[in-house]
Amino acid sequence: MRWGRHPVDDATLARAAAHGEQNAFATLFERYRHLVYSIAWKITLNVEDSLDVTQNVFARLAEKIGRYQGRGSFRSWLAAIAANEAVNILRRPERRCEMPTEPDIIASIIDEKHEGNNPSKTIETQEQRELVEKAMAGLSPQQRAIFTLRWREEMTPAEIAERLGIPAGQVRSQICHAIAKIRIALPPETLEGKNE
Amino acid sequence: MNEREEKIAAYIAGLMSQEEKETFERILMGDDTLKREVELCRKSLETARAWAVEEPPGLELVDALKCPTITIRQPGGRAKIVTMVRRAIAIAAIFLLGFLIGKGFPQKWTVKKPISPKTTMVETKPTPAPMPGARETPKIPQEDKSERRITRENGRIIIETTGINTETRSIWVVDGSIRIAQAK
Repeated sequence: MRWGRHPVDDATLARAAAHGEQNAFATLFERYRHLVYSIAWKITLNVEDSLDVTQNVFARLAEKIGRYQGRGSFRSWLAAIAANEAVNILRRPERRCEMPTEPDIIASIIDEKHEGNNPSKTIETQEQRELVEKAMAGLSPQQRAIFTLRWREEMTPAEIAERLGIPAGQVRSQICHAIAKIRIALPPETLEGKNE
Repeated sequence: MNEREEKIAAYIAGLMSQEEKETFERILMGDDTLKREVELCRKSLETARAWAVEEPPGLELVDALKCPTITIRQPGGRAKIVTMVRRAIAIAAIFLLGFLIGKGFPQKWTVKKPISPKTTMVETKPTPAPMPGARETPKIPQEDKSERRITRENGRIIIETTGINTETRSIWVVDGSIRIAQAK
């Protein structure tokens, strides 16, 4: 089944997929697999876990895409599912013992350095990136999930609360805690000249 | 996290109400240390935000993942038939019950007690005690050996008594409360 030249909106594709249209589902998969992986990586800080999360999210979506009611954007709905799955994968007891320690994370980040594959010009130095990742590793998985949905997906605290099924007050306090921790983790000298 | 840090974070993240924001900004105007802290916090957040939108490592590995096949479970086959039969039975039962209530149940289902011609039930209310000073109800003279005839008329029970010895004739009329009329 062809979906024509013009891009079909997500809600239409989701409805078609809910009626068993494999091509519609494949289009959604193509469109959002990178997003799901990116959100998963920002929370798990690990490539293998992020690949697992991506696979799990789409496997579940293949069964339960009919649950998308068309309320809010499909992207936000899927982003929240990915964030939840990433938090859950870090909470699994068998996973805990495999959790890398902070230096391991940093080492893996340096090893996996995506040379020439950095589209952002706002992170000025590799040192800054490492410091941010270290700061992020110091947050709880839920704080990372909330931070990612708030600052990457631009979701409001109320929307995050609704999507993750937690109180709005908790989302606000987690955002404040995360900002305070990041502030402490990033020394002022590393921020000098930033946006000035 | 102390209260000061929390307020700075809430201000930077835009989580303050308009009133809180105005109060905080008034304090900020006169406090250079706070101003510096807010500025550092803002820069930290901007750096972290830039990191959040950056492409993560290993993104190219996602392209190797295969799209799963849709496996949406829909009711069908035998389960569907069983559900339909159950619904039909429930609807039929509701209609039957409604019909029976509307028409009244058949006569043979109800038991009617035959009224014995020999016995007559007369319900009377207890006579209230006479008020002091009230006129007494005249007493009906007792008659020995008398003939009685009990008839019903318009819901009233009429007891007609004729004394054999005294040759007096009394008529008692009972309708709900006891009202007695006597004729001779």
